[in-house]
Amino acid sequence: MFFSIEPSNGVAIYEQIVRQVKFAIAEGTLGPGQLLPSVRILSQQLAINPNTIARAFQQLQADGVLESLRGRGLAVCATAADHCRNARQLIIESRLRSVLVEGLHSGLAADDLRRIVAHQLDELVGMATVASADRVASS
Amino acid sequence: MNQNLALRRLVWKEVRQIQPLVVLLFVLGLLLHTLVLLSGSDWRGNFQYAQVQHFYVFLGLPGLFAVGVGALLVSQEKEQRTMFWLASLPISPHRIVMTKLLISLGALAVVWTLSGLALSTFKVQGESLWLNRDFGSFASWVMNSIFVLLAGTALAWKLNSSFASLACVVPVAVLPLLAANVLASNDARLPLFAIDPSPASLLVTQLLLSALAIGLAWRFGLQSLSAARVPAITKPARPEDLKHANTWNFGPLLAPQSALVWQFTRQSRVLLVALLAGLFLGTWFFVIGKFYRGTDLVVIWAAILALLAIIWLGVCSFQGDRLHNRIRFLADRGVRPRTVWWTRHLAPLGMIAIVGTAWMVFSGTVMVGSISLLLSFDPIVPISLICFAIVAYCFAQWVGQVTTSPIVAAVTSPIVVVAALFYLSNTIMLLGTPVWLLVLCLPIPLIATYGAMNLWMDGQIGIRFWLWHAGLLCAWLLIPAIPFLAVVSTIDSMPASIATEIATFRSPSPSLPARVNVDSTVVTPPSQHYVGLAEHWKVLQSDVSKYVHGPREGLLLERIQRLIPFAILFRTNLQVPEEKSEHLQRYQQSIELLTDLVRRCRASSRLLDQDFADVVECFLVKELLLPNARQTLGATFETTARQLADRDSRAIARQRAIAAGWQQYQQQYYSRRPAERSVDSFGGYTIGGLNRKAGSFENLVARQRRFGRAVADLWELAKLREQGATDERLRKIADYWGYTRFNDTTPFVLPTPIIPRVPGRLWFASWESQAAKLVTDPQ
Amino acid sequence: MSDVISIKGLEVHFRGCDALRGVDLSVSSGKVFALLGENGAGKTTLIRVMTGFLRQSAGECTVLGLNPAREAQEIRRRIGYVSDAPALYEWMRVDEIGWFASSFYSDGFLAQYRDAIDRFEVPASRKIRYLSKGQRAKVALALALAHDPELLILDEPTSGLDPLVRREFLESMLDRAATGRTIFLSSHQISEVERVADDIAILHQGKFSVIAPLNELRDAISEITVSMSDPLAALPDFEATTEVLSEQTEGRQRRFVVRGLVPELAKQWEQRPGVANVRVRHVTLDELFVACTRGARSLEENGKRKPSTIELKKHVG
Repeated sequence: MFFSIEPSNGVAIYEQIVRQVKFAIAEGTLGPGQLLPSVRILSQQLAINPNTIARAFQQLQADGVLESLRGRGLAVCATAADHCRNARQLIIESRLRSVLVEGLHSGLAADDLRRIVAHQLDELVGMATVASADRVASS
Repeated sequence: MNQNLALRRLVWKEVRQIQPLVVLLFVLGLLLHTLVLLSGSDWRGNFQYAQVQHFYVFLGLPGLFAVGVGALLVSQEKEQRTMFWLASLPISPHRIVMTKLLISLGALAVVWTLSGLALSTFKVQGESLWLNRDFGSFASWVMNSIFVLLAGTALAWKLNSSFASLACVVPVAVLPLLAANVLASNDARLPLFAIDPSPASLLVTQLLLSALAIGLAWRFGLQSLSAARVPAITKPARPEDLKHANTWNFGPLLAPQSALVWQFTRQSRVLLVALLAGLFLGTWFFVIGKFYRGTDLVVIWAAILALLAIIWLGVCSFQGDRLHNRIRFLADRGVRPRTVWWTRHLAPLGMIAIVGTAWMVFSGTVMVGSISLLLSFDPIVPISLICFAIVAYCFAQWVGQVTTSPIVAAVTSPIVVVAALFYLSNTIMLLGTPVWLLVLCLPIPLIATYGAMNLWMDGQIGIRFWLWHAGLLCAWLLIPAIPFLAVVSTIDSMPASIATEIATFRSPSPSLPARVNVDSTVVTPPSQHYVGLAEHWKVLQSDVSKYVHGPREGLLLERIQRLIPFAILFRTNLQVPEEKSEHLQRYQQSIELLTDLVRRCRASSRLLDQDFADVVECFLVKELLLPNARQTLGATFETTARQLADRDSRAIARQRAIAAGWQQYQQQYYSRRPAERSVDSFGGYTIGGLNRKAGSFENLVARQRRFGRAVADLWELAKLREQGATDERLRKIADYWGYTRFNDTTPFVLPTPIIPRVPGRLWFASWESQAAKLVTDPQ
Repeated sequence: MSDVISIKGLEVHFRGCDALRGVDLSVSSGKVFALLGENGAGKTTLIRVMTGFLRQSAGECTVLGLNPAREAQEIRRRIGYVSDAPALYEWMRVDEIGWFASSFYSDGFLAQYRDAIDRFEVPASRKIRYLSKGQRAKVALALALAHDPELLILDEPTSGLDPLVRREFLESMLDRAATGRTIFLSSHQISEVERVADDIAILHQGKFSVIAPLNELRDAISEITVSMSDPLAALPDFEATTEVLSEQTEGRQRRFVVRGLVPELAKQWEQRPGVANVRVRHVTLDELFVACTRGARSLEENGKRKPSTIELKKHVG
């Protein structure tokens, strides 16, 4: 998988790695049992301190997302997908919350916000229906 | 853009760049010149002992300038990359090259003028230097410096490193001479260089070669400044083209020392080859000049080439790594400074050793007459040449480490080496330093660079670096002077207080015996055959009277001392009844004459006369102490006794003589050059200690100091009256002059010579107290 | 774990200028330590003391257990050092200079150097005089890495190089760090440093204003932006445990960069009269750097505080 690391966006680098791995698993980009590159190779690829990467991997192991295979490195757990989807949802929730907080701070009323969210959803769902229909049609 | 303004600015820049070199050269040249002159003067401002050779410094300065200016204006700009900037300005390259050439020629003219002016202010032995000089050779030397300047500029444009371009000038500088000799030797019977080429042919070759050099300088300069040409390749580059067959193809890995030597020699290839050529030419010229009936000019060139080559080999040992501070490559990797040091020296010293050995082998095998060339020398010659070479190399490498710019190093090193050689030879000649001490000092420059290697490699050129070098330089200067300083500090000399006392001594003018008209009809017979005693006596009396009573100076002691035996004779003859009255009269006359003689001697300012007077007084005391002396002498007794008892005027007379003698001695001493200051006589005496090893300044100084102490002792003695009899100084003076002192006076036995050989022998002896008693204790 | 570099109270005074005014740091094995600072802050001086090229005026310095003042050569043999203008022999070819340098190290140098040169794609048969700037820097780095030193000291190695070359440099360095070697890096490129450093130190006018592990720094330092409806209203002081790094005012807004912010402070301030809005965010390293240098200067000028060193509790391991 490809990572996009932005050192200056306020989120710790290791945290970015953890999130992107979880997102990838949630999306299906990383399948269960798939091996991740070693710390050394990844640090070279991304030009990131290997300790940072090691910390991210430790965190992922602690969360039960990755497991260590003797002699072969780290692989995705079979049960990881669910956890990752949960994690993704939590992250989306917190992002949504910060947007809503900003909206409230800027003077919008709760009803206005609800109206905006509903309007956006309608547009996006419509497109999403079209998109998923395309996918069904082409597979 | 205003072309004129641009040109003016360019000229200004070039002049500003040249300025430091001119100033530096003159300052150093003046320093060297002062050193040289100091040895040729008497250290009190007179230059009458200087000789023409002492002024060659001012002939050498323009030569050095001519060598260095090309490197300064061109190579330095290339190294500092300001040449790129210069080329990028909207001035045509023609202008740039032309301006640099003209400015350097102009500066050379200025340097020559200044040198010429300096030379004409000096006078050697009253004559101006310009009289009776060989203008032909002077002109060819000037022309040669012009050629060297042009050739140096051409080389600087062509080569990349400033030091390499300087080194290449060494063999090139001698091309006109070589060419002139080749052209002029149509007579196959004479070997090459057997006669000097005529100034005309030399001038022709110099002009031709100068023209060639200008052309080359122009061409190389324009090439340098215009766009680099790219070879005409039409196909695009392929990656395979980059890989050469011998990439990564090395032999076995080298040990660190070998790698460093490889790096040094590869780096300074051009430099080393050029200097080797110079060294070789120099030795070749020397051999031709000395042994194949070559001329002096060739020998001079030999010395210049060989010396410059050795000196610049020494400089390049450290300057090669200075460029772009590339010694830091080794410093960054923690390479041992020790190893770096000796690998820098290996190649240059090796080259010198090889050429030296080859020369020795060559002169060992070539026969001149029945012995080989080598053995036909005085052994001092090769040994001193080797020593010169070692000193030159050592000092050159010292300068090479200490200076940052290669041009400054190249230009100052010859001056420094000449100064060092000069100092060393002067310590031998003037200070009398033993040779082993100088040999001990030889490795000091090497120790200096070795010890500072760490700091130099790390680029820490700070206080510690400079203190280290300054300290060792002081040690090198002072160690040869140690014997001299030891002498000066351990050997007593005349203290300053006594010196002033002597200088300010004033005495009343002595009273001379009354002038009496001398009977000038009495003449000394030519062969001194006297008819009888009476006549002999008359002549002697007359002679002595002429001296004592007359105006004539100079004392014929040998003749006058005969008065004493005569007086004794007359007294003894008093026993004989016949002619008793005559003898009595003569006896009285002789005693009177002797008394007057004493007074006359006391009035003299020569110490010898004072001691002679002592001898006579001693005799008089003996006479006056004889029984019946009073009756025999009558009135003379009183006058004589009073004079004998007058210790004060005796003391004053002695002091006057010492003071006058010392002043005269000083005058003679300081009127000579330091190396020739050896005055042998003092107050009529020969100075003691003459038989010690004379000649070296140290021994002269030692002698001078000891003598000063002896005179001081004499002076202090002379001031004493009765206390003098047992003074310690009497023994010291006796030791100095080498006599045994005894207190009383032996009776005179004829014909013992009574002319004193040493001063103070009879001072304060018992006769003086006996004389004093004569007056107080009348018989 | 022993410290690879240990410095206590280091001071370097030149005539007319104090380059280092009391510096303490220690670097443990296997870390990447980044030294930041404006031009003239004293970074190169510190490195020169560490490599024995300069003698300190006061204080102690130990590198690999050795004293640079006495055993500088030994230290330089064991470390890889790339200075900011590395001296190379212009007349040598790329392969020649590796062969020459290999004489001073043990076997295996030349093979590793060759690998590095091939990886960097530098033409091995070209003279160094004709290399571009980036290629020269790569040669210097290859020479420094080829003997596999336990400590790598880099003094602004990528200044003036294009992003690709810089990336290649970083990759080489990180390869080294991943195998447990220690790296001491002095740099201006904050973006690079953010990616690769374990520990950060910011040097300002000869003293460290910040020296801490990077992740802790991020958590501990915040930027508070206060928008005022009444520009003249006074704001209460921060707690004693909070340290102000910089303070700026622009119209109705005020911005502070602080360390150790008490979380409730923002809410408290929002409730005060005259305050419209308080926003808190984490600070990027870039902004921290500017705050430590420019901000410190302005604070000193206003007499608000004396500069002091922040030392966060160091994360062991």
